[in-house]
Amino acid sequence: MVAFLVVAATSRGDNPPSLPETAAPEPITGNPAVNAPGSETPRHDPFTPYDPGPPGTKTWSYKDLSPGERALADQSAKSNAGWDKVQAGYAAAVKERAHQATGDSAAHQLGIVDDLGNTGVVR
Amino acid sequence: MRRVLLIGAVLAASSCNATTNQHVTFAHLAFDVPGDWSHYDTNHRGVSTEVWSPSGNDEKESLTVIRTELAPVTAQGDASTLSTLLAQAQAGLPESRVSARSSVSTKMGFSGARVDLDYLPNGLKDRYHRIHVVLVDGKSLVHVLYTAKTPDANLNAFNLLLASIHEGEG
Repeated sequence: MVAFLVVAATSRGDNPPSLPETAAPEPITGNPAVNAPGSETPRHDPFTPYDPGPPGTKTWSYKDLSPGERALADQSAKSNAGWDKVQAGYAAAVKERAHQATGDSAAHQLGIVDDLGNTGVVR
Repeated sequence: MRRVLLIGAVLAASSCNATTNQHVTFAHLAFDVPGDWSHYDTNHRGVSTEVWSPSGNDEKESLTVIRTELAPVTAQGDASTLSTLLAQAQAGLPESRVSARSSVSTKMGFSGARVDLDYLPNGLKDRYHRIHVVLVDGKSLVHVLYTAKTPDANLNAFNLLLASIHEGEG
């Protein structure tokens, strides 16, 4: 899985697809599913920290570390350099997959079960 | 003299075959296609597909007719949803670029939506042109796809099929 995404990031990084930032909303032909009141599950923003616990819960910060632990933390931080390209590759691949999933979903709602891209293509 | 007449008859027959349209039936539909096009069919899980292509075919043209009974809710939905779904279905095609969207009403009474696009089929280096029309026939949807590496400027075969398609006995 990781190998696939890294390859995708490498091969598509030179010519990023001109896709919009978010996939278009998918129309549905039935009624949307709605949670019962009180059963809603709020979606957590993946780029914010999770709640460590009730107020007063002890959390660790950099200044709480010993010199040896700080050295390890510093080394780890340095090794993260250059990950922005990998993250961008993941983001591009995920965005492309989201658009493909949107297309596949729409094709299924139109009753098409075969690969629409290959249908009728004379090679 | 007899030989000359025979050759003339053969030439006339072959010429007629290249220009005369065929009237065909398929999956409760009837429509016309050019006389020198041939086809193959597939049929499974409520979806019948027929792919037509001309002899020779340097332009790599094809016409595909799909009749599907798998989307009765969509078939009975509104025209806007149909058009939106048709456009979104193209989003899954590699490097697709939609150039036009419109509604369609055929001479024989079908209505639906149309989208024109170019895309890069998997495993190929050349972009193909695609016109995808979806028509409503009761609880069924009828898809008509024209696909070509070098599309016919007049879209003769596509227009012939679309103008003639109607409910048939096939």
